[in-house]
Amino acid sequence: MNDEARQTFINESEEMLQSMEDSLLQMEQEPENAEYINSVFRSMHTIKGAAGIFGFDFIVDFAHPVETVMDEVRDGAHQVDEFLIAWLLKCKDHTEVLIHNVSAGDENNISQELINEGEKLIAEFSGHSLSNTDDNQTKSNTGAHGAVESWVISLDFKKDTFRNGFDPLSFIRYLEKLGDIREVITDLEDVPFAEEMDPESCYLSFKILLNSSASKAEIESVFEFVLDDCDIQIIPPKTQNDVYLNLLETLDYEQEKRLGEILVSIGAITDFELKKALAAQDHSIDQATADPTKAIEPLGEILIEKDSVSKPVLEKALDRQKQSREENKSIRVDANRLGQLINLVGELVISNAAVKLMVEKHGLYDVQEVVAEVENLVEDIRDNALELRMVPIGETFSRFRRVVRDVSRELGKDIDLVITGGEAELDKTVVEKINDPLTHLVRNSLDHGIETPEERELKGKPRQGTLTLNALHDSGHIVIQIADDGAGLDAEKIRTKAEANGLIQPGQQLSKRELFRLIFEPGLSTKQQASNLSGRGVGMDVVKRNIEALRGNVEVDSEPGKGTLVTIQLPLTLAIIDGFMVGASRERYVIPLSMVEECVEMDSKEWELSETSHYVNLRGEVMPYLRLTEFFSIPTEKRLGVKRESLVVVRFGRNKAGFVVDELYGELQTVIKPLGKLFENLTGVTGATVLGSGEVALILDVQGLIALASSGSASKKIATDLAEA
Amino acid sequence: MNTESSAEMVFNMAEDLTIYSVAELKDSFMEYAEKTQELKVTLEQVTEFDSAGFQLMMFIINFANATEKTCVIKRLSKPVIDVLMLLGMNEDFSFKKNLASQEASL
Repeated sequence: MNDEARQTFINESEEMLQSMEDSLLQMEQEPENAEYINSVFRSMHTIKGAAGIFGFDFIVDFAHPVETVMDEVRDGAHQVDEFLIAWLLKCKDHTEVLIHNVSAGDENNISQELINEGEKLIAEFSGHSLSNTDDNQTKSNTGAHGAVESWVISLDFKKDTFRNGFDPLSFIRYLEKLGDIREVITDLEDVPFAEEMDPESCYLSFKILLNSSASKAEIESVFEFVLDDCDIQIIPPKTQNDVYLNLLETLDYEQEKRLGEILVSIGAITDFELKKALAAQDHSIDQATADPTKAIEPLGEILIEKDSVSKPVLEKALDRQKQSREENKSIRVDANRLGQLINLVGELVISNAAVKLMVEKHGLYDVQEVVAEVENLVEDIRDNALELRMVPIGETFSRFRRVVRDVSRELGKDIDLVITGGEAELDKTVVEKINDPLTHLVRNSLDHGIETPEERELKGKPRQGTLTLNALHDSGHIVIQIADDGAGLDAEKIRTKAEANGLIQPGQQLSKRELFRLIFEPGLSTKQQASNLSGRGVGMDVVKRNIEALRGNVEVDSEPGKGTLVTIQLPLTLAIIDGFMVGASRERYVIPLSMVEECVEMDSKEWELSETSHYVNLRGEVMPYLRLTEFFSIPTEKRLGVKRESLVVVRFGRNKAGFVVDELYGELQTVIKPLGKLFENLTGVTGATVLGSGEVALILDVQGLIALASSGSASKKIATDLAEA
Repeated sequence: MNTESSAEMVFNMAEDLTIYSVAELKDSFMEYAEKTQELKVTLEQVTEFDSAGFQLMMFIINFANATEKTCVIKRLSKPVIDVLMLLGMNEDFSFKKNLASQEASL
């Protein structure tokens, strides 16, 4: 097998396992929901099938009995209970281990131990199910058939029915075996009443009301042999229509299906009805070809005319067909290829800037319009290309269901996970990198935040704690919130610990937020006993570092006894941004546009600098400022004459600051180029971009700079580091 | 076999009232019907009764109505009663209930 196929197998299996886990966890909430049962079955079935194709017999051997159990669950032979779900989760984990063996290339050296483990797992279920068989049997018998209403069966026998050896009454008698015949109307209108009546011809037609839980196909099968001699119409009871609608809702098609196939698969129409309708359609096609004024009748309309299916069911089926078409339009693309595309788009943006510059330089006014149009197109391409990598964060969130479930059991806590805003999208590369910090924060909340049910009861809170994961978009960023209704942070404990560790001076005045921020400092853990789940004081600092590496920011807020809220702000993408270019002396810098609040010119009376205290007063609002020429130590002799300075007000989260610059250049599509390993730890810049002129402009790390500006003395040291570097 | 009692003019249906005999039975019935205004049909001998037989019986009733003759059907055998029960009909081959109300609700 080539590597590509192997990788596809691994990726798909992992996806299947993830979806299996999600469904299992949902199943815990809604054990009766057939959708989840089907999804688990499908996952195992698909993995087994794919493993079979690739010859991974050790996976097939394990997946097969699991699939069989799921099949039996679907048939109602086993009850969906805690044991089953726990067992299936273990099976999912075991399958994952098996698949890891494939990804490690060990498929030919599967240890006997691993195989035994799988066999043991399978045996565990058989043992359990044997002891429960009787119990399950009674349950499935009572629960299987729900409400029944009457089917209406119309039978219109053709003249030759008797001659062909059929006795219509025998079919009606046989129908009794499927249920309760409530009424039969015998229609005799067709029976002639004189000489012309041929007693050997059949003139009978019947309408039968049948109470039965049988399916349409089962009912039709009663008349299987007489289908050619009888016009049959089987109209389902109203309740049955709801069943069809539900089935349509939950159906999941791996391949696009035709309307007829969809309706047959849910049992709304039978194969025979479909054949007849298609024949009628063929006829209508023939007519339409002969006479172009006639339209071809759609299959759905034919089915409705023949009363084979009700209108709501047909409409729903058409709707689902449309959906499945849309779903199937997606294709799998190698992430690297997308990366390449985005790089190329980046180059295109830069080249386009160069063209624009040349046009301006040479005063080619007639070209300007074309260039402007190209620029718009490039911008659209850029946005679209970036969108290709956008994925909803919901999938990442729902992975925590398992974590929450397992951890809360391990700790003897009762915790509910609430997920909101899962549809918010962000770049896949960001999603991948946010997983670890998020896991850490979630575990922290579970471990240190939410109390045990007993403790909660003592505090007058509900026994069940709640952990909420939320995501939302805010000015070019995604905001992720992790909230718990646990004990909250103890500000005094943090202070004591921080003083003991020398992080702050004893008695130093700090706001609540500043105190809380200390938990992200290395070596600070307030929990007396560290557990094996979340950190021993290492970790929160790593969380902060990881998030900052993504040009993001993390903040914590807490109310003692009420809970803790951790807010993470992340950029939507790491590749291309809308920037705002400013100049300091001869250097150019780019500020992410989403962070720019406003620009104010120097001579305006609106702002006033306080050089000594490093604060700027803008219309009464006081904020810290940085003069870029000073911060980056740009030699003043290079400054051309007396420049009018401007103030760019930037905002990140709740913090604002002003950058004093010499020149405002305006908006610029900015392709972010990483600075490389040597410079990755620099404060104040996050990357660089190439301008149309070929010059390099640094992209400012706004949050880092705000933090520096806020800390009072815009540390000259860092600036000189940078200058030397 | 069908017999016609000349005193009462009764039409006795044969044992076999099925597709195999309906053609013949209809002919004899038509002959019988021509002779009398009061049609009396007995079914006590009927041991085989199928859809064709049922249809013939319904024909007899319709015929009587259309020709304004009286028609009495008597002494039904068990196979006949079974079919009437299956189809929800009375012993005089009339319908027990009316479905119209239920149809309207469907």
